[in-house]
Amino acid sequence: MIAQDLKVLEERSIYVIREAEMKFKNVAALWSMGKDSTTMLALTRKAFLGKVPFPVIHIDNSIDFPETYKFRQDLAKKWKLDLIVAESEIKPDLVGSACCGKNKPDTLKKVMDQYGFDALIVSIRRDEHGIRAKERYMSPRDKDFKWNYKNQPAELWDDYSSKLDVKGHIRVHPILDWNEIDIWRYVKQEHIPVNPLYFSRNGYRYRSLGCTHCTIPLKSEAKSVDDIIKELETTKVEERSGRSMDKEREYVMQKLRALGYL
Amino acid sequence: MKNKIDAIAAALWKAPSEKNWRAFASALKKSNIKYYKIIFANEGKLNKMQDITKSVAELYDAKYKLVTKVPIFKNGGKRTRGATIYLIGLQVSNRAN
Repeated sequence: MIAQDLKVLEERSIYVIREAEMKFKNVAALWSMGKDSTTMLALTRKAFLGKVPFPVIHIDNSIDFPETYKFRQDLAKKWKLDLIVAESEIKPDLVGSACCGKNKPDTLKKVMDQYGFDALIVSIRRDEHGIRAKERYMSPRDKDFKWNYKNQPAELWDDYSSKLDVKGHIRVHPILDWNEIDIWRYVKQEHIPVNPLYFSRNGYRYRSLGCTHCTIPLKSEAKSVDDIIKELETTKVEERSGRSMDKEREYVMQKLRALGYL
Repeated sequence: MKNKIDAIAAALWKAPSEKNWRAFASALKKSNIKYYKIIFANEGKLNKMQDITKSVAELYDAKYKLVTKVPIFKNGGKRTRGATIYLIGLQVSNRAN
């Protein structure tokens, strides 16, 4: 995994977050309590002098890890987050064995309608998955959350689209260019708190976090941020290999994202 | 303490109400329980919220000895929700057994 210049990445991300806050009337951010969305919140705090100026949404299917709930509780208090907890249901989805394919976007739609958000900051990264590599920094979604990945606005000279369909919204992706090792190097540099599930115990750790149902730990001896960085420098295991496999197949993920999956 | 935890766990299986879960969370803090392991029913297939009513959390002490088993949902019926939030303070058991 190739590490990039953190200063360049940070500047770009802060620029995108500030652009979003300036261009849109009602911005919100999604927070899953994972390393990426927590890093995005840390970048936001840096962009706005220690504050997160918009609401933070957690889509809660009520079977997250207790460690994740504890982390949410502690950090929301410490960083004075305006936290919106949106309860999602468990229903069959497009791929059968997973349970969050359609339910999370449905719940998000309700929250977006209720609060009238026109932009949503989401902490996806291009290196996570092939379909996520097709995203833009600011990517339009229609009123049904559908994403036309074959027809997206160009982003030339740092000029990002803020044009909306009627009742649609823009997904803002400030950490799109980061890769996994950059996130961990930044966590180390900025002393960003992270969910304890990322650290190894009994020879296993969680590398990508979902709920208790879809996430399994991977073999690892990384017990600290330094260990994780060292591990990532040589690993050939995919980051999301501990997530429900059906959901991660290339075409299925593409289909899910086009329909609004997060 | 084990008797108290067992009694509350039994009450939870009977009626996983908010009140019983709060009593459990409070007792959990004073107990020797350190780890949890969630076992989903139906080979882990979750197709509806009701499916979590068949799943279970096994709770272990610091030596990975099984202390008790509790459900992972609250209320049930039309208003079934997960209840893993009440296990705050515990660590996931990464052990196979």
